[in-house]
Amino acid sequence: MSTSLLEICDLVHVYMPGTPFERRALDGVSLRVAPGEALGLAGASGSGKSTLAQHMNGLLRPTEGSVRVDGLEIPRRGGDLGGVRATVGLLFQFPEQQLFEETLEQDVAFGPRNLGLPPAEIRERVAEALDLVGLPASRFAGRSPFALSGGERRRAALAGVLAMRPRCLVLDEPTAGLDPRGATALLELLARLREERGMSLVVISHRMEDLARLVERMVVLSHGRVVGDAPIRELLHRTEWLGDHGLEAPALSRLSARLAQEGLSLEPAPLTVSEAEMVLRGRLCLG
Amino acid sequence: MIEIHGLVHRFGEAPETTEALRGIDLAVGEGEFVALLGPNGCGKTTLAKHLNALLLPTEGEVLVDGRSTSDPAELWEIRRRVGMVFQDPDRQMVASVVEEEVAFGPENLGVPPAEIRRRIGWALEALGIQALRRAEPNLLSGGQKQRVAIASVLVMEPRYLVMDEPTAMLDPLGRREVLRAVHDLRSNLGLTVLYVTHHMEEVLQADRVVALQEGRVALQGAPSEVFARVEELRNLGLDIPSHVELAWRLRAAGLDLPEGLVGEEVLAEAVLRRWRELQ
Repeated sequence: MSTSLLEICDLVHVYMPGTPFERRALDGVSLRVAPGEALGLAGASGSGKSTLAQHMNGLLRPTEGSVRVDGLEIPRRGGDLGGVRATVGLLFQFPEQQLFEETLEQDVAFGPRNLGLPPAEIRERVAEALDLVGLPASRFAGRSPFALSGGERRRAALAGVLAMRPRCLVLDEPTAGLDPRGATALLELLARLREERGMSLVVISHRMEDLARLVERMVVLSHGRVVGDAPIRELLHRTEWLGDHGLEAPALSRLSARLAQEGLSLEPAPLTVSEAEMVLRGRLCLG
Repeated sequence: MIEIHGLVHRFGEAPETTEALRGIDLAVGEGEFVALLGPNGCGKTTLAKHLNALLLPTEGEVLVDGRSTSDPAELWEIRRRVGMVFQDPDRQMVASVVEEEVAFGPENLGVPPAEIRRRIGWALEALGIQALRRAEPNLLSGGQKQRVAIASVLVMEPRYLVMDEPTAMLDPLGRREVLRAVHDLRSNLGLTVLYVTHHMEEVLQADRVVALQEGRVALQGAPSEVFARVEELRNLGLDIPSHVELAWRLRAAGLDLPEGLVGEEVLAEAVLRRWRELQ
């Protein structure tokens, strides 16, 4: 009996096989996500992150290897993916571009309606999802998605995914393009969903500082392969290695690396401004 | 020079109007790099769209080299002088080959073909993308696409470049490419740049930073002055680069650091100096 919610083994994905445009986007990827775990997924553009994300709920099918969701293998073709889609919710990049209904309520209800649920349950799920993302149904249900701010539209799109009551959320660059306040609100919401509902999270992001606030473990992809799978604290301090894989180490990691070079090594390696302030106040005997 | 006097912009019909700009006075001088900062909804995109008459003032006035955007007779001249680059490069692409994309504007203006070819070569070189001349825009990276978008504006030979969050949809590499290109354009061509963003680390090299809040100018000055006011910036909902915030906190705790903006290297050196003194 496996304890993984998501289990990916030797996954290969080839785009446009047999054509001059053939491209091996994933080249033998293996990873697991446990229930309630939060995993960060990082890598340069073109490293295969979004392709991998689309395998997690069966939008793409393996060319080779396997993807198991809650123990059930996603077939190479065909099959009923209703169970998979109910378990794993996928939020695309810039999902607010996909809002299309006249009101928020209709938009969020789209998924549950397609599940064929009775109207009362749909209403309940819509209200719950809107409340969860901080757009309470009492105020927002009747509003047009197009009358919302950028951050609100992003959360409205997330509500559409949450209305399916997934156990795992896969999010592709969830904070891209949001202002700092909107980004913080979204990260806090994701942390709360995990804490209160035990949801697993798989978060793709270029922003290492965002990942550090949300996940303990990070997987780094490069050219379709996993080149790192370790605690994020450990990976973020390998600043040169991150650079080699097209990622940008956070400013504080660069500072720690620079100080360590000169013989001042900070333990524990700080990830937040407060941690850095604490350890430096101590080492520098500041008040 | 761009001059903005008492600019008010209201969206919608009474009584359901939203006042996006509530009285902006601002002047952007020749060759200046002005960064416009602020959270979503503060009015920065609305303001940017006034600069080439995509939006017209509800009250007040916007003058580009003395020409009012409210004067329909000046519209085309203003649009030629003020080039706009937006967030999403995909939405700005119309052609299937980079050079055709870049030629689109001048062709529409009836610029002679030889002159168009000269300008294309010049614009692609200015942005470091000569090699992409015959590439298909679809297959480019985000940073490359955005530089093509800038080249398409540059061939119109504008005096002013208004960029609305041009890096928001790019990865760190693309972001660096675009930022470097913007700085090169400014130092090599003397273009006046108005750069809208909410990432403070992108505007450390601006001549002037203007922060908007709820449709008004909340804070402005040289980056070194503005970024020293950490509390105010935080209240504006801006993201303070972590090394700037750390420097601010360590200075408050007694570390010897200059006032104002502190770069990563200055911070590292101040920390090391103190540490060596202690040993």
